[in-house]
Amino acid sequence: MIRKTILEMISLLLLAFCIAMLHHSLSSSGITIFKKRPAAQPSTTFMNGGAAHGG
Amino acid sequence: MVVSPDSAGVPIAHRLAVLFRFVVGGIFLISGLAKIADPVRFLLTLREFQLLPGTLESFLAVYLPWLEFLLGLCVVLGVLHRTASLMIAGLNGFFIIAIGSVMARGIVVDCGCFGLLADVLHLPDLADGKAIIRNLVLMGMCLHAFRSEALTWTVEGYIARSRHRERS
Repeated sequence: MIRKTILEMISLLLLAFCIAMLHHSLSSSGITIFKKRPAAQPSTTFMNGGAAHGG
Repeated sequence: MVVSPDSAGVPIAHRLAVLFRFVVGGIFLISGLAKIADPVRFLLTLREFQLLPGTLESFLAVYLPWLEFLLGLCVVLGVLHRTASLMIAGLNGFFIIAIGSVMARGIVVDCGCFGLLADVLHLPDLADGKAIIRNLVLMGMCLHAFRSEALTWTVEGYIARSRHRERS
């Protein structure tokens, strides 16, 4: 019983480790599961264009 | 005592164990997902605890949310749920030690229990006595779920029932 529980624990720990490492390597490669919403920022294109046309 | 999945009269202790399984599993599933969605925030929280060396903090920031998610999923679905319950109780013990250590050193930090959700849903997220009590309650629920051998609402129970039908 104890041996079975310990084996199951090790299996779960290893499985979580594998998934975490897979997720980490995918994130490092630029592949994300949860895409973050970009923060609202003023459009630099508009600003640059405005400066070019206005100058 | 092993309760048969087909037994009609399920004791209250076993019903409670099922309820506790869903509550604890659901909490760990959601909090794990919230931390997976924002690992940087979780890493910063771990650093505020000043408990572990930097490399271990980075490793835990990647590993711990997935472990929480996996254990929560196992407990909710009923796959290796007794072992997963025991491991969640162990994780709660680890959290209690960490929060107690921070309180003893007089450092005021967020406990990081719910990650991103703490801001969105305005959940209590301070590492204080309430967080320790919350973890103790969750630990008790997990230990009760571990002690119960009920197979109600579990994938393991479903498989056992299917095998039983095939034999008969």
